[in-house]
Amino acid sequence: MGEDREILREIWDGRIPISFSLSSDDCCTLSPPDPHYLMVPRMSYFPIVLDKVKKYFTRSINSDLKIDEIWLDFEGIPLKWNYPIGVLFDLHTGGKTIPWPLTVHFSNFPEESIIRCRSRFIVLLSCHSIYREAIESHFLAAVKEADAFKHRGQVVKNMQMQDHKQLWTGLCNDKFDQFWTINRKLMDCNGEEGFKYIPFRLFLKDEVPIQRLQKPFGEDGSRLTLEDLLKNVLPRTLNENYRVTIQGIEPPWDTPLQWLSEHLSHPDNFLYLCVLQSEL
Amino acid sequence: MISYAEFVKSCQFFININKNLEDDWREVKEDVDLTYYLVKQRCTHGHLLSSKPEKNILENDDSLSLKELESELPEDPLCINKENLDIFSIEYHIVYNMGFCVPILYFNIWDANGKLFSLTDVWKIFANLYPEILHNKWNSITQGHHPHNGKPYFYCHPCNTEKVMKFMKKHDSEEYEDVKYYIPNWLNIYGAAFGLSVPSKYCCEKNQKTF
Repeated sequence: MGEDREILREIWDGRIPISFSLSSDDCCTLSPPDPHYLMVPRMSYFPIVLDKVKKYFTRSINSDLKIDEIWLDFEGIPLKWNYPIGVLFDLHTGGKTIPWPLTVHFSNFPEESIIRCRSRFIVLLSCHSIYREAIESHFLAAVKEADAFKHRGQVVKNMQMQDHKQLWTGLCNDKFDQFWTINRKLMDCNGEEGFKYIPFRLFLKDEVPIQRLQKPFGEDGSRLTLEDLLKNVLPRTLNENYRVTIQGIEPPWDTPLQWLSEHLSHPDNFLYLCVLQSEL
Repeated sequence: MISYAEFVKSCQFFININKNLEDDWREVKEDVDLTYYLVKQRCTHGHLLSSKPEKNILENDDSLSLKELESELPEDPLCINKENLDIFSIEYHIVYNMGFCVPILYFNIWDANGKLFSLTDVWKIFANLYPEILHNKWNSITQGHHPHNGKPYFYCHPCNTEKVMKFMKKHDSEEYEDVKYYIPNWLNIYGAAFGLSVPSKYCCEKNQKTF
C-alpha cells in the first residue's frame, strides 16, 4: 500500500464547497440572512461540521425553535446525515453543482425518512451531545460491519477501545496520520489473498443502497474488477450509460476491486459507489 | 452464522408454525434479489411492553418473579405519561444482515397519536426492563435505515449475535444443529429483549417433534 500513500492523502484532502441557506419557514428576520459558505471534507459527516452553521443562523430563527433539530435538504430531499458528505454530494448532484446549495431547517423534522438525532426528553438523560454521539455510533457500527465483510470481524475484535476512539477523533479532527495508524490494521489483507469480501454500498438515485457479497478474486485467482462488481449487482440493468462515481472520481471499470477497497474506501471502510445515468 | 439461503429456509419454517398458531408474522418478498424478510405488527399497552411479558406467552413461574420485581421497583419518574401514551403500536421486522451473516430485529414504535418514538424514548422504555441499557446505550439499541425500505428503524447491533447463538448451541446442541430452528431460537433471545416472545406453544410442539 506504501507507494499509493499519495492517493490516500489526495482522497483524504477532498473538499466540497457548500452554501447553506436558511429555510424561509424558520426565518424570523425581515430579510433572510446571507448564505453561509463552508469548505467541507468529503470524508466527514454533517453532524461533525454543522456547529458553525448552527451558530451562524441562531440569531435568525424563532427563539422557540431548537437548534439541535437541524436538518438539511437539497432540492426538497432531506439529506441522510449518517452517510459521508462526499457520497451525498455525488449521489444528489452527480458532482456537478458547485457550490452545493443546501437549505437548513430547524423545524418539521422529516422523521419518516431520516434518523432523528434529538430527543423529546432531552433533559432527563443528559443528551447534550447526542448529535455527535449518534454519528460516532453510526460510524463505529459501519467500521465493525465492514470488518465483518473483510476479516469476519477479527481485526475489530482485537482492537482496543482507544483504537476505535483514535479512528473517530482522527476523522473528526482531520488528522490523516492519526487515523491511518489504526486504519492500516483494518486494511490488512494477508498479501495476495485479499479481503474475504469487499465491503461496499452501491447507491442508485432514489433507491435504498445495495449490499452484496463480492469477492475480490475469482475462483481461478484472477483479480475481479469494478465491472465484475457492477455485473454482480446490476445484472439486468447495467448499460454503458451508467456513470459510476467513487469519491467523486469515475474510475475505469477494469480497476481491481481489492485496490479500490484499500484506497478509495471512506473512513468507515465501506466503498461507496454512486451509479447515475449519464445525461445524453 | 447462517447463509442467506438458510435464513430464508428457517424463516419459512417459522412462518409455517406461526400459521398454525395464528400468530401474525408475514413474509415480504420484493422483486429484487435478497430482499426476503418477515414483518409483524401489533398494539400493546406501554406498561406491558416495558415491565412484564404478555400474559398468554409466559405461563410459567418466571412471570411471577417478574411481577414481584415490578412491585419492588419505585415509580419511575422517566415513565411516559400513561394517559396519552399507554397504547403503543409496534412493527417488527426480521431482516438478514449480509456482513455479519445473522438476522437483525428492526422495530419502530408509535404512540396512540401516531407519533414515532425517538431513540431516547425507546431507551427509556426498555431501561425499565434492562437498566444496564442506560450505561451502554448506543451498543444496546440504536437507529438506522432499514436495508429494504430505507426508513429509520431501531435495532440492536448484530456484532454479538453470532457469539450469543454459539453459546446457546453449546448448551442445547441437538436443537441448534438443525438450521431451520435458527430463527425461532434467535427470536427467543433477541425478540424477548424487545417485548416480543416466541409463543410457548411453539416450544411444546417442537419438543414433541411434530415438525
